[in-house]
Amino acid sequence: MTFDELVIVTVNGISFGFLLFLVAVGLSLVFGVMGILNLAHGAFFMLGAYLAYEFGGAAALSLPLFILVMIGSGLVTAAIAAVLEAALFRRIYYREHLEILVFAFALIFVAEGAVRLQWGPNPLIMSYPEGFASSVSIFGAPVPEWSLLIIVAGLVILAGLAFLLFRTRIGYVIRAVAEDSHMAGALGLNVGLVFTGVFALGALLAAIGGSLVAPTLALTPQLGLLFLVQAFAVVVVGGLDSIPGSLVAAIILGLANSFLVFTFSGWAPYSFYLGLIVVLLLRPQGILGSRELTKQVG
Amino acid sequence: MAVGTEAVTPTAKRRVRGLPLSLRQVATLAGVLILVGFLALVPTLNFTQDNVFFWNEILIFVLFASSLNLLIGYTGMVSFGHAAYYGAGVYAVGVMVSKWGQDMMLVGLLFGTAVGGLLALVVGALIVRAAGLAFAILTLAFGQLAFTFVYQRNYLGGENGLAGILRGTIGPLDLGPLNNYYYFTLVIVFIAMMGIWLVVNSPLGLAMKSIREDAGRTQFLGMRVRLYKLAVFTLAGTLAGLAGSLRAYHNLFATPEELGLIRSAEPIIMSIIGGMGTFFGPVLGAIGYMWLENWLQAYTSTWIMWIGILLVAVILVFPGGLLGGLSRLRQVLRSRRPRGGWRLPWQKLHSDSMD
Amino acid sequence: MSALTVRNLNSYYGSSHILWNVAFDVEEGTSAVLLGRNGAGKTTSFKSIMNLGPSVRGRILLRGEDVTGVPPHRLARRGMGYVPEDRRIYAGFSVTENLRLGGFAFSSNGRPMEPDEVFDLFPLLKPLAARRGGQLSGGEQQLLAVARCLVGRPSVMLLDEPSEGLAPVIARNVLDALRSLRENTDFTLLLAEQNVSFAMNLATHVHVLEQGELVYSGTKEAFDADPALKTRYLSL
Ligand SMILES: Nc1ncnc2c1ncn2[C@@H]1O[C@H](COP(=O)(O)OP(=O)(O)OP(=O)(O)O)[C@@H](O)[C@H]1O
Ligand SMILES: [Mg+2]
Repeated sequence: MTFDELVIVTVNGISFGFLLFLVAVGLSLVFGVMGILNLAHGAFFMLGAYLAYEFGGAAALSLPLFILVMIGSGLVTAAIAAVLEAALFRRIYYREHLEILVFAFALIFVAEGAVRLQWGPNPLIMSYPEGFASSVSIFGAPVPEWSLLIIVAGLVILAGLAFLLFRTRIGYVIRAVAEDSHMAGALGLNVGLVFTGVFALGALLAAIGGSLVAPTLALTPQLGLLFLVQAFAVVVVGGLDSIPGSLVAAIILGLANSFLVFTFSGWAPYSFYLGLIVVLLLRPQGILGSRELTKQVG
Repeated sequence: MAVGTEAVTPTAKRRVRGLPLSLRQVATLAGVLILVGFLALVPTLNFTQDNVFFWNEILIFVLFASSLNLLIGYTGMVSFGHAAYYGAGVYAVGVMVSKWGQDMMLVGLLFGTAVGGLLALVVGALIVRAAGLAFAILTLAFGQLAFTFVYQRNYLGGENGLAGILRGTIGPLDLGPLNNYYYFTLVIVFIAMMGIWLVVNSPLGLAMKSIREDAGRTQFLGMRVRLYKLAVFTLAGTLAGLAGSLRAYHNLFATPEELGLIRSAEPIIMSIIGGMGTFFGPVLGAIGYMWLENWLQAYTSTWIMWIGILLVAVILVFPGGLLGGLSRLRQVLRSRRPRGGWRLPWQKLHSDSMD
Repeated sequence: MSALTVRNLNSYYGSSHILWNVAFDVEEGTSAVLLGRNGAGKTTSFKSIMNLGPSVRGRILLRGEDVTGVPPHRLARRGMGYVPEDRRIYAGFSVTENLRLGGFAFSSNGRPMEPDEVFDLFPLLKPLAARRGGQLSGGEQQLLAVARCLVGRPSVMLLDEPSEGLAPVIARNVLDALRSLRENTDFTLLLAEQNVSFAMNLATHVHVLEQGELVYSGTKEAFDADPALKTRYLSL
C-alpha cells in the first residue's frame, strides 16, 4: 500500500463512517428516548434520497442549492415521520418488541411500494453538485471531494446535535424523558410531544443521510434495506443508547470496511456482521452503551 | 407473546355430550381434517399445474414458519436469521445434486436437513448464552453472514445461484411429476407438523414455555436452560433445513435470496399474522400470506405496499395475530373488566414503568 | 370547596381488580392522609388519580373540574403535584437541574420557585446543589423529590410515604416545609402513610384503605378519639 493509497483509503473509510453515523444516529436517539428499535428508519433514508431527487432533479446543482434541497427533503421526511408517530407508532409502544420491529419493517414495505408508485421501479441517477465530482489533493493524494463533504456534514450535524441535547431547553427535556418518561409526565413534561419530536428528528437525520448518498448511487425502491443492517450494526456495536458510541463504532466499521476492501476484499462484506457478533458476545451493551440488550423481544 | 389458544378456559373444558373430547378439541380436529382433506384434493380439483406448484410452496412455508414458531412463539427466542438454516438446506441439496451428481432424493433430503440442523447447532452453541434483543441481533448477524457467504462463493454460483437440481425416485416412488412430488411434500410436512405437535405438548414443550415466560428468572438455572435453548434452536434449524431441502426439489434451483433478510422476515410475518405461539397460527398465516401475495401480485406491481399496509393493520388491530385476537375477543366478552381504561400510549414502555 | 374529589374509583392492573369503589373528598387547604397496610392500595390510588398506569373506572375532579383521563402532564400543569414512593430522582441530573424540572408543572400562580426559595424551605439541600441525583442518599433523594414537586407550586400534592426510611432530622425538615406552605398558601395535601405518628403531625382528615376498599373516613379528631380503629385496620 503506497502512501497515497493509505490517505485515500483512510479518508474514504472515515467518510463512509460519517455517512453510517448519519443514518444510525437517529436509530440511537429513538432507542434512547422511546426504547424501541425503529427499523422504519430505512424507509426515511430512502425517502430522503428520493425527495432530494424530486426537489433537485438529475442535473448538477450548485452547492448551496443542494444544501437547500437536502434540508427540504429532511423537513418533509420529518413531517411525514411526525404524522406516522402520532397516528400509528404511539399505539404500539407498549407491545412486545417483536411486534414493534415487524411493524416498523412493514413500513419499509409500504415505502417501497409508495416509491414505486411515485417514481417508478427504474433506477434514478442524481448528479454531484457542481465541482464536487472530482478530487482534491491531500498530502499529494487525490481524495474525492464528496467524501470530504460528507465528513464536514457529519461534523456539523454532530456538533448541532450535541448543542441541541446539552445546551438547550429542548435537549434538557429530551434527556429527562429519555431517563424516565413516566416521572417526566408527572412533572408536567409533554411526553407525547417529545416522542413525536424525537421520532421526527431521527427521520430528519436519516433523510439527510439519504440526500448525501443520493449522488453516489442509483436510487431504487430497495434502498430502504441497503444501509439498514449496517446502521443497525453501528448502533449495536457502539451501544444502542449512546450517540458517541455510534460515532466511534461508525468510524471503526467504516475504516475497517475501507481497509478490507483494499487489502482482503473478499472479507470486506463480512466485516459488519463479524463486528456485530464479536461485540455482542463479548460486550452486549456495546462499546459505550449502558443498557444490556437482554430485554425480552418476543 | 400471544396468549396461546391452549390456554384453558371454562368453555374449553366443556365436554361434548357422549364424546371423550372437549368442544375445542372437536373443532380443532374437524378443522385439521378439512384442511388436510382440501390439501389432498388440490391436484384433482381441476387446478392448473401452477396451482399445484403454488400449494406445494405453501406447504413448505407452513413447515418453515412453524419451525420458527417453535423458537419465537414457544420459547421466546427471537430469530431474525432463520433463513440461514432453510437456505443451508436448499444449497446442500443444490451442491449434492448439481455438483456431486447425487441423484438419490432421500439422501439429498436427509443431507439438506442435517446441514440445516448442524449449522444451527454450531451457531446456537455460540449464541444461546445471549438473551433477548442481543440474541435476536446475533441471529441476524449470522443470517447475514450466511447470505454473504453464499452470495460471494463462485462455487455456489454467486448471485446467480445453482441450477440443475432434479427430482428423482425414492424406492418405487417416482417424484418427477409435480403431482407426485406434491403428495410427497404433503405427507412429509404433515409428519413434521405432528412431530412439532408432539414436541410442544411434551415435557420439552413445557420447558420451552417456562423459558419464554420467565426468561429473566430462569437464567439462574443456568446450564439447563442453555441446553434446552440449544436443543430448540437445533430442532428449529433442522426443520428449517428440511423445509429448505423440500424447497430445493420444488424450485429446482438454489438462489441467494433463500438466505436473505426477506426470507427470514417472511416466516415471522406469517406467524404474526396468524398468531405467534399458537400451533395453528403459522399454518393459517402461511396460507393466508402466500395466497394474498399471489393474488396481489396478479393485480398490482406495488403489491409489497399492500402487504405492508395489511401487516401494519393486523398488528394495530389484532395484537397476537388473528388467532390471538380471537382468544382475546373471547376473554373481553367474558370479563366484566372495562376495556382499555386510560392507558396512555407510552405506558409500559420502559421496564421500570410505573405500573 | 373540595380541591380533590374521587368518586367510585375502580382500578385494575391487567385483569386484577385492585381498588373497589373508592370515594373521598379533600377540602381545599386541608391535609388528608390515606392510611393502610402494605398492599392496601394507597400507591394504586395515587397512580390512578395521576393517570400513571392502572386502568381506571370512576371519576376524579380537581377543584370541581372533571379530570378523568387527562394525561399526567396536563394534570401536573393544572396544579396536581405527585411525589412517588420510589422518588424517581433523575440520577444523571444535578440537584439544581432536578429542581428546575419541577418548574414545567407550573401553571399560573405567579412563577415557579427559584432554587434559592427551595433552599430556604429545605436548607439541607443547599450544600448539595451541584451534586448529581444519583449520588444522593435515600433521605436526601426524598427531600429533593418533595422539593422538586413544590417548585411547580402545586395546589394539590399527592405525597406517597415520605417518611419511609427518613432520619428524624430529614423528616423534621419535610414536616416543617409542608406546614409552612400550608400556613402561607391554600395548599392542599393528600398523604399516603403507614407511619401513623408522622401522618398525625400533618393530617386534618383521615381515610383508611383496606384491601382496596375505603373502610373509614373522618376528621383527625374523630380518628384519634377511637383508638380501636388503629388496632383494627393498621396494626400488623
Ligand atoms: N404493577 C402491578 N401489577 C399488578 N398488581 C399490582 C401492581 N402494583 C401493585 N399491585 C397490587 O396492588 C395492590 C395494591 O398495591 P399498592 O402498591 O397500591 O399498595 P400500597 O398501599 O401502596 O402498599 P405499600 O404500603 O406497600 O406501598 C397490591 O396487592 C399489589 O400487589
Ligand atoms: Mg405504596
